[in-house]
Amino acid sequence: MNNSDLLVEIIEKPVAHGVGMNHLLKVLKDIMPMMDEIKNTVENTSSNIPKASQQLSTVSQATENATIEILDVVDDMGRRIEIVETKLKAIDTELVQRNTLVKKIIEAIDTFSDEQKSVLTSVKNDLMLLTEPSANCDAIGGLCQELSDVRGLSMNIAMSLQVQDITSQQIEGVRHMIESVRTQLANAVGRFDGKELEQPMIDTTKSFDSDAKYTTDGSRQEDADSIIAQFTNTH
Amino acid sequence: MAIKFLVVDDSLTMRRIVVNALKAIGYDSFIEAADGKEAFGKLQTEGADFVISDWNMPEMNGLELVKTIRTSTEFSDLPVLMVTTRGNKDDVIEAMQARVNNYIVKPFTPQALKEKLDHVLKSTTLVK
Repeated sequence: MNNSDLLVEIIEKPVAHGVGMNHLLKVLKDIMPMMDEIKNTVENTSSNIPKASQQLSTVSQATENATIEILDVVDDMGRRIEIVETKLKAIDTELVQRNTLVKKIIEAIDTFSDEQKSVLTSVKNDLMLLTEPSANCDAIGGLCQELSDVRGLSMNIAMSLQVQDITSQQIEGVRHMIESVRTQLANAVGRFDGKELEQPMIDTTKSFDSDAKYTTDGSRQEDADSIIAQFTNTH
Repeated sequence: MAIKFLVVDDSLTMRRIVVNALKAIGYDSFIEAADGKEAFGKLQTEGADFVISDWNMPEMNGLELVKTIRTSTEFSDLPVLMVTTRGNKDDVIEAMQARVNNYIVKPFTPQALKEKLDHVLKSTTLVK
C-alpha cells in the first residue's frame, strides 16, 4: 500500500487500523514534500505550454507567408508563360500569312512574260526557298503546346498549396488541445494555492477543422457526392 | 454575362487558390471576404452572382452565411458552393439542409471546381 492509499485508509478507518493522530501527521509530513514537488512540476510544465503554442502559431504563420510568396512566383510564372505562348502563336500565324503571300507572289511571277521571268528567276528561286518546310517554324506549334503544359504544371503547384490551409487547421487543433491541457493543469495548481485561472493563451475565436485531411485520391469528394445524390433523391 | 464571384475564406492562401482556379477555367470577375459577416456586407454593398464559401471561419461561419443568404429577401436564390475540409456525412447533410447548391471537399482540382460550377449554373438562370 502506498502513502496515498494508506492516508485514505487511516482517515476513513483510524480506529480499525489502530493508528492515532501522530501516525497521521507523520504520513502527512512525508507526503507534503511530494505534493510540493508535484505542484512545482505541474507549474513548470504548464508555464512552458504557452511558448510551445506560440511556436506552433509562428510555424503556421511562416508557412502561410511562404505559401503566399510561392503563389506570387507561380502567378508571375503563369503570366510570363502566357505572354510567350501568345507571342509564339502570333508568330506562327504571321508565318502562315507570309507563306501564303510568298506563294501568291510566286504564282504572280509565273504569269509574267518569259523575258520578265528570266530577270526574276533568282528572285523566284529565293522566294520558293522561303516556302519550303522549316523544322524551326514547324516546331512553333509544339512549343506552344509545351508552354501550355508548363502553365498547367504551375497551376498544379498552386493547387497543391492547399496543403497550407489544411495543415494550419490541424496545427490550430493541436494548439487548442494544448490549451485544454494547460487549463486543466492550471486548475489543478489553482486548487493547491487558490490562484485564479489565467485567461486562455490562444485566440479561441479562431475557427478550424481539427479533422482536416490532405488526401488527393478524390475519395472524400466521391463520398460527399454520393451523400449529396442520396439527399437530393430523398428531398 | 460575366459572372461575379464572391470568394469567402479566412485563409488568404485559399482565396488566392480559388481565384486562380476560377481564372484557369475562364472566369475573371471576383470579390473576396475573410468571413461570413464581411461576405454578407459585401453582398449588400457590391453584389455578386455566385458565392464560393469555406465553412470554418471566425465571426460568421460558412453555414451561418448560407442560412443568412437563404433567409434574406434579396439574395435567397443566390447560388452558393461550399468549399471546405469537412467531408463527414453529417457535415454534408447539414450543408445540404441549409440549401447550399453544391459541395466541394478540399483539396480540390480546377476540374472539380469547373464540374460543380457547371452543375450549379445549369440549374440556375446564370449563364457563363
